[in-house]
Amino acid sequence: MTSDSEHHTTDSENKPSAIEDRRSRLSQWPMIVGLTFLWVALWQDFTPGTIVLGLVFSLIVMLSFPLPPVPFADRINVFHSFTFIVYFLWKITVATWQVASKSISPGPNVINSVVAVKLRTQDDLLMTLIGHVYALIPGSLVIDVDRPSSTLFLHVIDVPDEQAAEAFRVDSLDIEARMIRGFGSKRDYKLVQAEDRAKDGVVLRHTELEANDDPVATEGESWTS
Amino acid sequence: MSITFDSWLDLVAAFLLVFGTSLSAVAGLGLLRFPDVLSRMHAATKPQVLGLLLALAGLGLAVGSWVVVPVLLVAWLMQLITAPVSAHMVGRATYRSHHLNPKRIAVDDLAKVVREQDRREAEKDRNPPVG
Repeated sequence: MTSDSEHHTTDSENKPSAIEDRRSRLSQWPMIVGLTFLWVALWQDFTPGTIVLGLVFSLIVMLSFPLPPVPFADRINVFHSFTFIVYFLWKITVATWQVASKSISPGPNVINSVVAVKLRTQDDLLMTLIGHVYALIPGSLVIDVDRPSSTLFLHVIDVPDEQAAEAFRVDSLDIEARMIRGFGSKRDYKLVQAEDRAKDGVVLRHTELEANDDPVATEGESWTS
Repeated sequence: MSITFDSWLDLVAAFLLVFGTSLSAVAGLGLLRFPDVLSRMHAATKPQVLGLLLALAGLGLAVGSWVVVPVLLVAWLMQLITAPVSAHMVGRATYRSHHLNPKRIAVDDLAKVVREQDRREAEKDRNPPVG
């Protein structure tokens, strides 16, 4: 079962939350890889014996302390992921410089804003990752999330007017597009590809692309967090 | 005295360590300098993401062994995972408890959402759903 099928459920009331979702344990194999890596890294020993022991312990941990299953993406593009990581580090460097110079320069001189960014994706995991990336790039901070419409509310430093806020929105949606190209689900990737073909800079939504069969995340959903 | 490859490596490592730690120092300074809670959260959680990365890179170079690279990577990733979560918790609490200086906020997209939510809740309290 891919993450696609659950989003196509027509009745939003029946959409399984992460906790009720009964995905097979096997679909959580990236967790085992991650835990094994942690084990091997902490032992600082890359012999097959340590790796096998790490696998065994990760399996035991996974089976005895089950977490709510996470829908991992059904595709990954190594090239785009790598470009994204480089871009992310560059972005962090630039923004760190900005925040650092702001904190050194004299006088309280910052006007901030709370900006809503409506994301394309509806995946739990990708939304979390995007929120993390925004929060890690200095100058923006996630202060609230609206899950049904996948909107992030960010506190952004040094945004004095609506124009700057719009520029920030465009910028953050570009970061999202980069992440989707790298490791978004097939469904989100289709959306970004359609945008790339159009080349007009307009951000598409699943609701527009699949107008007939996706009532989720339309206007009038309850704004909860 | 000749300058070998190793001494160059030490020099780069020293530079990375000093630069990385001074970024963390700037973070501390920003914590004092910025005017309100939310801007302070930026200073408190962000510049040392790069600062720690540089310091760890310097450490890796100084140790000069590939075996430590995964541990350093894990240390950095742990920071990447935890810093936004704590910043988010403080930020959300700050916003919801109205510890926000309106003079320092230009655009506020969340305000109308919160107001609408409060209105709906108040309405629900007035007319509880029948059945």
